[in-house]
Amino acid sequence: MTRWQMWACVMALCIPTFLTAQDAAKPAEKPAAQPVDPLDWPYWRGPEMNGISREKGLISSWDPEGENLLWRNPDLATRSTPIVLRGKLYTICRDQPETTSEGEKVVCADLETGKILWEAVNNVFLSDAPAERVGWNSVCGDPETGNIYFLGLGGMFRCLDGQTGKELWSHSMSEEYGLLSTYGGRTNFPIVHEDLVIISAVMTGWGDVSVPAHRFIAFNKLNGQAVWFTSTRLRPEDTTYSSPVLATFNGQKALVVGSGDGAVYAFQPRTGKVIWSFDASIRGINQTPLVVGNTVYCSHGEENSEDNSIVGAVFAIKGDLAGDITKTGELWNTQGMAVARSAPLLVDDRLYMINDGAGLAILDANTGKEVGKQKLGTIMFGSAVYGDGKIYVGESTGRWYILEPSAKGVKVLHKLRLTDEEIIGSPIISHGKVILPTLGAMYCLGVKDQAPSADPQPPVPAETPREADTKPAVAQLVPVESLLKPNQKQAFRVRLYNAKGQYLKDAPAKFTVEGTGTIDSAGNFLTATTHTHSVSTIKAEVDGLTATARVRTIPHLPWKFDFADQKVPPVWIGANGRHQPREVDGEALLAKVTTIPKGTRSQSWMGPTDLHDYTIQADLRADEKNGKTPEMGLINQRYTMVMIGSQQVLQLRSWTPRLELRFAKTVPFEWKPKTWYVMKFQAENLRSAPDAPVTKVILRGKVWPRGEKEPAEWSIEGEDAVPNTTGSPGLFGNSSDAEVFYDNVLVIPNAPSAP
Amino acid sequence: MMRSTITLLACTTLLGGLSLYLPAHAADTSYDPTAETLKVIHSMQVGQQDWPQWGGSYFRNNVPDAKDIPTEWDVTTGENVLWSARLGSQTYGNPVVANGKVFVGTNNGGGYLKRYPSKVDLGCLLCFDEATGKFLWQHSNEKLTTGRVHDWPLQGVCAAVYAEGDRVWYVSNRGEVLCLDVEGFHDGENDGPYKDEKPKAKPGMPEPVWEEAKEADIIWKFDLMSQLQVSQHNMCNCSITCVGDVMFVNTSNGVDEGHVTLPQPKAPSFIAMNRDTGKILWSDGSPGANVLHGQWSSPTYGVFKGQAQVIFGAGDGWLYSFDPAGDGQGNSKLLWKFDCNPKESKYLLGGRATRNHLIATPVVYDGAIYIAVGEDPEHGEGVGHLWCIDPNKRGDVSPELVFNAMSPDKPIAHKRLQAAEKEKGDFVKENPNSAALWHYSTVDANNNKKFEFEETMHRTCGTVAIKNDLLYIADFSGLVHCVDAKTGKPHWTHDMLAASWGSPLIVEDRVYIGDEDGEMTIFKLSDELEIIAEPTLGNSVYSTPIVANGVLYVSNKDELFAFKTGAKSSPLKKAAPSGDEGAAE
Repeated sequence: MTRWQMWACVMALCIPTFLTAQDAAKPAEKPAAQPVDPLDWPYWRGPEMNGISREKGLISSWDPEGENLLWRNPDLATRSTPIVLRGKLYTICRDQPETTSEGEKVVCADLETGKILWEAVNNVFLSDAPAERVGWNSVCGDPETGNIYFLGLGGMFRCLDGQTGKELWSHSMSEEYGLLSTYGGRTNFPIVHEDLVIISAVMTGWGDVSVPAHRFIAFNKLNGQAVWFTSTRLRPEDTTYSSPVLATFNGQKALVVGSGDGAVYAFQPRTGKVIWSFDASIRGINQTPLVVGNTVYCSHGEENSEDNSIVGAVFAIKGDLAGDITKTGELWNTQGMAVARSAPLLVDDRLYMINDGAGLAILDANTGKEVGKQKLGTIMFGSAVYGDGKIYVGESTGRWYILEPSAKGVKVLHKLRLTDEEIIGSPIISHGKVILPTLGAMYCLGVKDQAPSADPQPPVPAETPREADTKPAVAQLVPVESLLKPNQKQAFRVRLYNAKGQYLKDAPAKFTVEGTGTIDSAGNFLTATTHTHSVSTIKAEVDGLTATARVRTIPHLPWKFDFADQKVPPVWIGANGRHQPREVDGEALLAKVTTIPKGTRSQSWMGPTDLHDYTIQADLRADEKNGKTPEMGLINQRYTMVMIGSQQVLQLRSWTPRLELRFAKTVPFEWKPKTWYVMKFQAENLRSAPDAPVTKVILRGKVWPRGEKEPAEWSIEGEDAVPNTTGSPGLFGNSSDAEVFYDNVLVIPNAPSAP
Repeated sequence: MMRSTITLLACTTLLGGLSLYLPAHAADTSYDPTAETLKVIHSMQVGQQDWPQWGGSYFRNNVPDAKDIPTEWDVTTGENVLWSARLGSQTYGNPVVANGKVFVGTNNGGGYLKRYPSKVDLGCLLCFDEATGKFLWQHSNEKLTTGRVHDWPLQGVCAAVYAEGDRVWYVSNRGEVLCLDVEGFHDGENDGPYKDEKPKAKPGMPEPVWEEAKEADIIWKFDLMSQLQVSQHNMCNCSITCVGDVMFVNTSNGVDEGHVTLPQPKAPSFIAMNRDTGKILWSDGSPGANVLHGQWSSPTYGVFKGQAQVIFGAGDGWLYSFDPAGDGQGNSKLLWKFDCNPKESKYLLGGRATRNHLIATPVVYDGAIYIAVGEDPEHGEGVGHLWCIDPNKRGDVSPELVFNAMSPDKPIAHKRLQAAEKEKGDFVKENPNSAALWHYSTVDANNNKKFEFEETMHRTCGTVAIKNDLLYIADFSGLVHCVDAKTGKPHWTHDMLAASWGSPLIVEDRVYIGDEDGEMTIFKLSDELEIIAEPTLGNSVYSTPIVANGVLYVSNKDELFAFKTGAKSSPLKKAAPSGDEGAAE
């Protein structure tokens, strides 16, 4: 009996005959709601998602040395725009920058003093994004629950208790959904609508979502269960970071956002159904749209889709349409004005747009014609906000302005320059204060001891009463994505919505299953009982409507993949397409191909993210082309072990751009292309006591020529004192230069007496 | 913030003593860089007033000889515009003019070929007729499938060509060195050895439209990526220079996606090639794994005290000088190397980094070398350093040397991110063999004990231009600096309030510098700040203005303009909506 077979038997015995039903469809308990504080700033573009504050008595000047400076806290230095919820400030910061413990964190601070109240730290792992780009996006606060939502630089999506910072739930978006965490560091902004929190990314998942696309997922904001999952067009040119805004067009609720595929979209926020799309650029849209009434203002700094010889556009579109409105929805368009990042601001029929070179153009919002302009500096990242008759804006190289609208454009009321403090984030206005994040500090500006005051916010435009249309038009099957074990139950629930995307009711449906598992008439699904990796599509039919949900069923360890079925394992994330099943010299294997644009250097994941203390082993073989050999390796518990051909080394790492500073171990290792090797990679969590937290993880790896006896010694060992304590097994490969072959992949629990 | 300020202070103090090393140059300005440039041009098979390579000659000093170059124009009416030609949507290449033709690198936004509609992203080298601006041919480079790590979308061809006789040489976005026939197929021949220009139909696809007259005729090509294992970062860029039949190329070898590892540390950074065959004569990999990001600088050549030198700016922030003949065994022969960063400076991503690398091209002026440090503009603004270097010393001629407490007498090897790490026992000493003639970074000109923005040299990808001992350089933060070329003392700075990616042109008694807002600021060639005019180009200028045969050439993002006093032509399009331009109130 091989070791693999032995483990299979042992583990099979361990599986209980029937797993406890996961009743995740049951609505989670909501904490008691508090009244919404109109002085809060729960989203980076403000409570109205338009950069406008209704507060009064705001500053007209300040001085970093004292005047109107309420506090300055360098520990809150960030590139992110903060938010304020229930009177507390929340933002994203680098944790212990430039140290071996570096990570990212959500920080909560007292708005009155700037004193840090709590920090929720997490590691960045399996990401190409540089540490300097931590805080690319912003957190989002939920006024109803007080919860804070955060998508980390490396794809950790976390729901935190706003009072304590305790994690309520999380998803590892890369391991579970194939989120790409690229070296640009662009990460998207979460947004809360009713019971959902919606997040997006370019993802390469499994099955019919394995081709990359900018995809949007809505999770139940209380329990993290996936509710809807929508894709924009396949193979977008860019990862982008347009932040969604909520709007109501002619009584229909919409989520408006720019996409990686170059279009602006309006989705129904409750169903994810596309209301309309407007093609603007052949590249991705990073700009955050602004909605005023039924008009959407947006812009970009890339080649236009209509005439790609022109770079940049500022445009206004009609939001109360449906379908592809590229040809029908345009109100005006000033092509040639490159405004990629700084969000639009509209005050009194004038649109304030700051181009990427920090030139402010004041446009007539009805025509797009220029009324005036003001040069602010040289580089623009942040966005302007408006309050108390003034525009507050920081330019990226440290120039700060308070502007006042004037007949010809704007008048400069106040300006100063913060030396050596880049401003990437945007100022916000909350509780009588203007808060400015810089890479040097967080500044809180206001008139000391002055009580905040504000005009009321204008009412949110009303939706058409749902009683006006009670005919179901969209069916939703929840949870839309699940990862289960064999012999596990999952209850499904069908929700019906009218044509405007308003929830009508839950409804009984006719359920069917494609793939493994069975479902009863009440929607209770039971996965396959065998020790196999399988996928299922569940279909619910009701009133002529169909809804589908997808399930991956993955057994407990051990696993073995020998590719004899000539398939990329369908449950793997980010593997299909970038790898092809192949037969070489009579051996069925998986080849990582050189021909997928932008997908030659990639990671893929095999299953649950809560696995730990396991060993992954595989046969690996590199091809050679033009004297270049690829990189190939395995992923264990959020660490990569890789053989680097050009350098003839073995390397252990977790956060690639932080090799020299966070964690890595590199040892010389001579190896040859066109030769099969066996790689074995083990992670072991160490604790001071069985129930104590993991203090460090020990990583051990070895590589030997296939067919030879396994060496007794490990080839490489590393110890991470800032450990990733769980994570999915996976593959890493860089086939940009030549192909990589994988075969005989084994994942087994560490023996209880692992060395 | 504190750390970088202290480093700068320390550095300024340390380097203040360098004026001791100033050479005994006569105070007169008998050195005529225009005459020196013309001598090189006249030695080549090109027209007497042509501008056949980046910087005009291998001295790389943009100081052409011309008269009546316009200071005013209107691109919307065509006033003073001899012709204008459609480029792509983004243009970073600098024009070169030789033997009746104009060559410029751009992307495919112009869509000149039917087989590549404008929505197909390419790197394009376009060739126009010098007299009329008529399009002659295009060399098309499909994008690398590995994506932006090697070949950033829509950046086109960034390098300028080297042109001589009936050949033109350049480095493409695909990491290839190419030799092309300037006539394209207009001479009715497919010159070789390379003969496979005509594309074959892809399986299941129709035969591509082949418009031979509009296509480029390749003589030879050399793939740096497959033949030398080079892995460029984001873009392959080098404007080749050539002496006799030897061509010098920076391969662009750089870091991978993670921005930490050099995937091909053994691939050469600098090569000498035979220009007729593409054969490698010698190669050098000095920067090794210390490359910080990419390598996008172009080489320079000069003869100093009888020793010919080819000088390369490297991605590790060092300037390297080699004997152009190599060692005769296929290897380089190093003459000297100079670290252009203070040893305690530190490399990070973003504006807070104090260590930089070299994107600018070194310039030869009156026996000295001039270069400033920079970084990919994507990484923001930051502090910079401008150097004047004596090329006559040998070995490590950096201003400083780094030692470690463990063996305090022996300089330690260079370290990529930070050469001197105090916390690890490293310490810095002045180098007695320093070749720094002067250094310009921060100057407290108004004596308020602060280094203000206007008193700081920032990062730049721009190259200096020098005439009458007046050195001009624009930095990425939008400052134009006028510095005494002999002493390094600043005369003035001017804030254009717009980033500059290009380099100045000095012609007649004026200095021309373009900026990202699309304006051309024209200064009087003087140690006093005087702005003559600020005409607009309509949209961003990422290139450098040049002059050939009495015509001023400037490209904005999507058009190449040939300006001549008194000329008039029809504009290609209406000016883009404003909003790119400067302040109104």
